[in-house]
Amino acid sequence: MIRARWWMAVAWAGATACEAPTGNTVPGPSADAFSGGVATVFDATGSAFGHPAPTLSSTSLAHHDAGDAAFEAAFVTAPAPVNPGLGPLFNSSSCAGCHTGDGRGRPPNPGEVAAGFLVRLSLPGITPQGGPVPVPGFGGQLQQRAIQGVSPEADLAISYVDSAGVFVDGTPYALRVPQLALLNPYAGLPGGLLTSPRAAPPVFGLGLLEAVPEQEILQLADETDQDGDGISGRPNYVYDMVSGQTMLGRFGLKANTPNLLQQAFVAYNEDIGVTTSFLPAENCEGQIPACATHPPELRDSVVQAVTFYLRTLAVPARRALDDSTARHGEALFAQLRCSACHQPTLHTGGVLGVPELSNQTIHPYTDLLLHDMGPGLADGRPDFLATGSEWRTPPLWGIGLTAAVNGHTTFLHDGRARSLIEAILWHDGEAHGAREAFRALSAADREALIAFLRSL
Amino acid sequence: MLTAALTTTVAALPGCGEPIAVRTPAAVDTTLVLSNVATGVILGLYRELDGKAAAFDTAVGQLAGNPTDANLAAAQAAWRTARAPWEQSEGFLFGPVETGGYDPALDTWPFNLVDAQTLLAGSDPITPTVVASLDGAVKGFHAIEYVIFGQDGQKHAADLTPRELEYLVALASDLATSAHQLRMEWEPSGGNFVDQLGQAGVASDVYFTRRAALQELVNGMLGICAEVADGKIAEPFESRNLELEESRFSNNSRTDFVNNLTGAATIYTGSYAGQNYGGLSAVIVGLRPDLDRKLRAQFDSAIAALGRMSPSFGQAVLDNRSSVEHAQRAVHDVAETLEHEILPLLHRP
Repeated sequence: MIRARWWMAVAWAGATACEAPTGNTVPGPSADAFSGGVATVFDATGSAFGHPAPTLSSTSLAHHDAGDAAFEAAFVTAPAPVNPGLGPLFNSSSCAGCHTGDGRGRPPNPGEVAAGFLVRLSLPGITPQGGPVPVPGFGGQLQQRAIQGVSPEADLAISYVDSAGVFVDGTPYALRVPQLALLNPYAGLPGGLLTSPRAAPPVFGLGLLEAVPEQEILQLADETDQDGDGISGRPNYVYDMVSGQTMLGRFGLKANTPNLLQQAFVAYNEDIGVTTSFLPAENCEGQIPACATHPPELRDSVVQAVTFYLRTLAVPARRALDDSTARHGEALFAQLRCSACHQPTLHTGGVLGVPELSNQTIHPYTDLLLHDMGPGLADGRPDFLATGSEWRTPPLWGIGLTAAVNGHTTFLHDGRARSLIEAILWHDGEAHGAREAFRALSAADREALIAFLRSL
Repeated sequence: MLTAALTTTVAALPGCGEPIAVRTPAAVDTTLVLSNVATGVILGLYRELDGKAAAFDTAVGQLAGNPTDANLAAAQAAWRTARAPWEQSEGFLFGPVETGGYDPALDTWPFNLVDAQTLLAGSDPITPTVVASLDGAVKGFHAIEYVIFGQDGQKHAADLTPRELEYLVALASDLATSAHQLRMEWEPSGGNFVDQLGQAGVASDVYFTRRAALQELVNGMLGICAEVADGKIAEPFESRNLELEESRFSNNSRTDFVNNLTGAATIYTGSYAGQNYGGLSAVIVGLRPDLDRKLRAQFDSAIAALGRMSPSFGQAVLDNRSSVEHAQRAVHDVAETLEHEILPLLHRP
């Protein structure tokens, strides 16, 4: 969104001038502001997630900017001279409508039409490709909006009940447990329906995650918990729609998407109702008469530009490196074994078409693997190899800037956590031990851990 | 590539070895600057928008009650009047306007003509509640612009159908409601975002440092410069396609652009509605008085150059292209200074 290039010079000079000393027993960065390697920007404002990697060549930058414009573009109902192809069913009329500021969505407030939030649907079983079974008449995702003259599939309503808890030091807390309802469906919803509500995740730094060599991710996996630490970590293997092959899943909240190209064209199709050569059928085809077959609504070059945009969005620098509280929190993060899944450091290999991003040391705080997070967070909806209680470790980089970019601090897959503290307290399953260790911390130590997260 | 100023900035980054002496903005009270900009300029402009959107709603009520050409002209004038503070406020598109969905609700472009025609052809009541739930491309300034100006800018009162008037009344009410809510997000008696910005680094949940808040002001100015020069002007200009012109039904584009740059300049100078609240300039002038003079002059030049695209932006794209290129260049000059000279000065812990 912002085209300022001044960060380029900062990142260049910094990358050579202050390589971080590492090598303590804690896996992870120490005093390294460059969370995205050379693809790091120094901006702690509402624009923090929206900058191109500072080292892009001018050709790459032009490609990124074209993708930026496409990411912002609002689609309208065809026929139209500008941006035709919206719907008939959709969740949002633009990419940026959900990923505002390239950041995080939140659950709708009562009476609000959801933006940046959607619900995945399926029936029990798996498709020949190994994925979730679409729901007849609804597909794999609920579209709660439609063009005029077409009924939306249903309205979303989310209510909450409080669940009380207490820290070991006696301080009480309350978590809110969401309850999802699909109201006014345009047709009958089948029995056995599986649902999974999702808040839109941030979209920066994804090219770096795409470029982490598969072997590095698999080395972190411990499917049968050989080391006996209670934490397994499993790769998801998913269907690559372009090659028709099974590939390692990296993106999506259950790692059900192998690469950013697929992420982009599936989102165009499912979220905006825009067809492409990759997915030429409307998301409602065969369901409603308005879903007629027609030539693709968007050129491949635009899909490629948006993919490139996602691939080249930079990561905001870590802040407060000289803050002793945050540094203490960083040590606690390792001591509590949060870092066992939220891996502080990964490395990129070659980045396809973007040599500028290749061979970087990055600090995303994820292992890109699936972990069982316990029954409280379970959606009960399997997705390729991910079970109904497994989720991919989400990256934590930039998480401290959520309020600045998105004006809220709701976290987890469905935004149920209203703060970072609540997000930690929801951890269970493989993270039970870490959560209990957090619950046993003193108030000062809890604050230090949060101060660390807010510095990311 | 590196200039001296940038080297200075790098050395001041945390964790990068010995900081070297830099001239800092500490000589001025940046908290006071932020607080004055938030309260005097930003909240002032949102209050103005609220008042003018309400006045537009009133004008639409009169038009609906008595659809004469005079009342239509009054509604059109009230639309232009309400659009001015909105376009000025695009000089600071951060905070609630972005995070609360106000920008898409007020000013989504392009307008969804097919959906609007389907809606108008239907028979379900079009109430403010219905409009509130519509996608942004069927409401806000541009949906209203379509109804009151017409696609060719030649709308007469006799052309307005009862159904269009029903839509218009709901659209005007929704616009006024959104404008009011946006103002209340900033009001100390409401969401109090003035304190999030004004108390940056002191008592803000959004801006953990004053530097971040100062940078936000610059990003806002830079963002609108980029949008005007590289989007709103460049897209119709490069393709010679006037369907890519944003306010083409009302032929208001040139005024929009002037207001965009005026809003950015207001953040810089702090001069709003005859008062000087002290803008970002108050930080810069003590450090680099020459730079302050230069940027002020560049803002003046850009605003003047935008105004010289004649006879209208659309016509200039076709027949007076040098005036458009000149204006585009002048806006780029402002952006260059903000990016390469102002930001580095602020970028310190």
